[in-house]
Amino acid sequence: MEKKYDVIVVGAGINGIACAAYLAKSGLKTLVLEKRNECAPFALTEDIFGAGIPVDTHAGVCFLPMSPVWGDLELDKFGFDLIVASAPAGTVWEKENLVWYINPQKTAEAISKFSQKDSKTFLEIVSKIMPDIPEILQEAVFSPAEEEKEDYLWSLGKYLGFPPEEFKTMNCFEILDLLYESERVKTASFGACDIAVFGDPAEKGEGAVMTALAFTIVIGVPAGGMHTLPHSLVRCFKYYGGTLLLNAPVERVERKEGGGFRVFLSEDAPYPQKEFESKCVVMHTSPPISLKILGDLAKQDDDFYKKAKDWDMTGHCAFTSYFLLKDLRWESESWNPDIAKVPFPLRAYDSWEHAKISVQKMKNEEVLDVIGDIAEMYNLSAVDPSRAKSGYRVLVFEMEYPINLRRYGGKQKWDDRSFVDIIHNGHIELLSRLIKNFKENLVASMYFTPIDNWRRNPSAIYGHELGGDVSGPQWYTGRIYPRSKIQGLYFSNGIWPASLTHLGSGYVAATCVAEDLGVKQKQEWWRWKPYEYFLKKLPELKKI
Amino acid sequence: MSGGKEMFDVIVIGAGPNGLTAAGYLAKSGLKVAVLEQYVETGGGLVTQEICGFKLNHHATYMLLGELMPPYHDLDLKSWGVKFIKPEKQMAFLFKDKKSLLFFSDPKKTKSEIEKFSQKDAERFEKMYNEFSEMFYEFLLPATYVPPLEPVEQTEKLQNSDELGKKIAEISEMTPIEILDHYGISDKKLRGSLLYIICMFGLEPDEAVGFLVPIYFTRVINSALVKGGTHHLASSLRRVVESSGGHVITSAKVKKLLLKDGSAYGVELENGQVITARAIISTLNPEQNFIELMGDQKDGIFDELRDVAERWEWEEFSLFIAHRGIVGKAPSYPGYNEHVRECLNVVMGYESDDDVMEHINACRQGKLEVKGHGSTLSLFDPLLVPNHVPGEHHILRWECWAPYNADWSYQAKKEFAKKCFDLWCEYSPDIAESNVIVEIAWSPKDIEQHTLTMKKGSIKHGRYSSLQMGYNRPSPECSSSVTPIKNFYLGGASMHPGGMVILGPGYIAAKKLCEDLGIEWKFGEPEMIKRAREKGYL
Repeated sequence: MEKKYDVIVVGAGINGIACAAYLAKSGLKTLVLEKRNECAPFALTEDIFGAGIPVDTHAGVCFLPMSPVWGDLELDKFGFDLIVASAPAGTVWEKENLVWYINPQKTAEAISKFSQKDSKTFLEIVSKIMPDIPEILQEAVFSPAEEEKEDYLWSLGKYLGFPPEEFKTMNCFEILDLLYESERVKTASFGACDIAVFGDPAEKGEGAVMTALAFTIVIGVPAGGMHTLPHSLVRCFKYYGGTLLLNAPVERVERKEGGGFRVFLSEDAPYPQKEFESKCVVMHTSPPISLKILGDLAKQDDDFYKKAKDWDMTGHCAFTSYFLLKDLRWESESWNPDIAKVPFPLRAYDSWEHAKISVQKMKNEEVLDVIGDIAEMYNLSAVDPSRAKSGYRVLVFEMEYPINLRRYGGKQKWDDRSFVDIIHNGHIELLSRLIKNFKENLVASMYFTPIDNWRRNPSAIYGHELGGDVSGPQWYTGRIYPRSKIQGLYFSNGIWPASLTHLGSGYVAATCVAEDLGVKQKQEWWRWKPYEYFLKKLPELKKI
Repeated sequence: MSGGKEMFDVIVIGAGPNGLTAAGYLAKSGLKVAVLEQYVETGGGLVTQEICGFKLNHHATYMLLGELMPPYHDLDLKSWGVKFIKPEKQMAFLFKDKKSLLFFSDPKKTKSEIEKFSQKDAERFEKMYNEFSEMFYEFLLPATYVPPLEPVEQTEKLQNSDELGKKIAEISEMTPIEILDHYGISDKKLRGSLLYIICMFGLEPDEAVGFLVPIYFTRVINSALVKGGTHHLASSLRRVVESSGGHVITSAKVKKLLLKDGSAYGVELENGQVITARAIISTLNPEQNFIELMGDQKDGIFDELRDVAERWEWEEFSLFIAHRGIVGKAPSYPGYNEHVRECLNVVMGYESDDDVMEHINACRQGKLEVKGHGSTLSLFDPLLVPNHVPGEHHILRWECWAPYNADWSYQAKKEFAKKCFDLWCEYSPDIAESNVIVEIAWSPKDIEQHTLTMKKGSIKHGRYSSLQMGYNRPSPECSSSVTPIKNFYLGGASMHPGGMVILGPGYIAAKKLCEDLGIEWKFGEPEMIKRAREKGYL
């Protein structure tokens, strides 16, 4: 095995591999070192109910349509195929629902069932924002966070009708209160604002940016399972000559005399060769883990060191329940039957007042009061028949809860199965109100707690899946900068944007490395704007 | 990469251990190779599911040959991260009277364990072990990596060679039970334990496959684990292929073999894509090879091949494997020898060879019995558990024989898994206290579902019977990799020497193909094979 590389990426999370694939395709000799036995712990399809019943155990819907990565890396050639749902998302209440369609006219129609005025407002915003989506995403999501660019974020207020000075002082609640009159439309929109984790909706400024960006989110369902995304990235990476080592935990990274780095595997790694060298290193571990691996070296970048030392990974985290069902029909199908075809149904608060109280209770860690209040669900067999080959249907119910649980005995409480069963059973009770004959159709269920998520992803300390909290002091420029102050050292985790399936953080880190090594300009394929490849591809994609 | 027509030197169908091995040799020989895998994941039966940081080997776990396999050296698997862990204390059999019988990789230690039961049997064991060990190293291991000889010719060679050859010929047509009788093993507990060891991976106690007994007997108590989980072997093999310029193309299901004038020239994928090559190696099972891939080809050789597939017998029973990932202490076995807890496998429920026979007969009738063995794999490989999270983590892996034809609904599977762990808890009460983080069981139906080559949960792609082994596997015309179809080769577990991750079929296929394509075989011939030839065994 070769010892010397141009770039070593530490950690094969989905954004780490995306970054590595860009660099390999740019002609750089790239090595990825991964502690686990497979890549992308949070973008996997796993047979948790037995062979032949695929379950996307973490990321369920794919933001790749928003992303330039799909086109640049030609992922369709490496086994990635996306199903476009005509009704990708929807919000469910007991008797009613609000379906979000690909076609905004249809969404407006659905909204008009609640309010004519809101329907008009929605359509006005969408028609203003749609033509600019590629530029907005490029500037706000697929570029490194920069102080000078913060004004650009505030300028997004114009699409919603707010001047920048006002926009930067508002949160999601305030904006939705001013935009819409119907409580249903407000609560449903709140859910939509929350999904791509561009901040905390209740915080000033962040909440505003999230609300604007919510109008740019486009999702799809990877045919066959979410794991086809990391697999296609790995295939692409290898096709361009990249090397990936699994079961290869990195213990430390050192500066080499005369430039470059030495990367050491832990003694535990089964490889006889424990040391590699490279010009550049991209850390795709979460900031506290990167800090540990970098040791004293980290101190040479005071900004990173300061941030990472007190990095907050205790915000909230996903608790996910999985249900194996004989059949799945929503109670609200009589309101609008299209909800049955929605792969990504959202559960919203029962009232707008409830939403505000609930967010407060969540901040106070009153977990048992807010079980299942706002959640994301995946009903992927609704659009991908390959998920229901076994004859069963799988429903995933994921809700963000606070990590700390100080009221109940602290973070370790997430390992107390009798406590956690209360939450899981709460999800079952809630779903039996939303879904017809839920309990009768329930064959089996299981769940992953935040600590289980940490078990699965060593970077996700106590289950924090975004490389640390994305709000307050850790928002936008408060996150780690992708370019460290140490020449040749980069970060793709804990940076802006959060590591999600739009692959923004991997893209941003790759951009920085390739620019600094002077290879980016030469790559003619590196040219897609966010969202544009999806638009080009749309006519030939499978639509349901 | 894809789209339109593509041309390779060799297409390998299936990215299981044999497919990747064959591809590794061929890519290293400078050929342009594509491995086509219908699933997203590679590895076939080398499956390790990492779930909540617990790495679960749902299928293959115990490597019988490890570093003895020629590909380990030829493909330099060590440098690509393959590391075998070989526990010294291999198996413990627990009996109701709180006695236990331990098997060590060192036969002297095992002998002194057996002395506690019977002095005479201890000596007989020693004799048997030594003879088996010699048979294994001198003949059976080398024979694993060469094309099989016609049975009469093979027997003649053995009989005309030396003492050892004659002994092998003598036991060749005996059943495992007859072999125990032959060596005079009389203690019931010892007979039960030995029969379990011999039959653990599906040899039938009453089937005349005596030539396999020395392999299974000596190797099962010299088992190794692949560090990082069994799948790591597959990912390392894949790296060998890719680092030599080969391609592993996943999500590529082959629909049919493309034929012209009785020669194969490529494959058509399910998505309509056509890939052509000078030769095709298939690692699938006979039914897939000779019926599914052949499409509507009829008459002559196709008829004969179809016949081979239709007559093919799957194994009579399969495996049930259940995992628990726990936070808590590793099992201890109060009242038993303190070293039991350090053994790789702890076998529960068999007091005699009759019990073993009864379990196998139950399986043959589609009935479940709660007997088998438990392994705490995390004791031997800390990489298998999420130790970055506070608390002591362990993997409890249960494995037992089970029939394919039984109720394997989700509920039934769950209940059976619970019964198995309840039995384990009877011997090791403290594991009942542990915090169970994950619990997943694979029935024979899951095996079939996950690895389609293993129809009816056939872990070796088909029964090990005298009519389906060696020269007859899968048929006399096809057991040396070549088939009556020009350019179409076999290389999977349904060919000689069979399954169990010994990489023999992949090795033989690659070598044969190089020979046929006129490519120099630059890996030499293993010393053991040369020696076996010199002694006249091969």
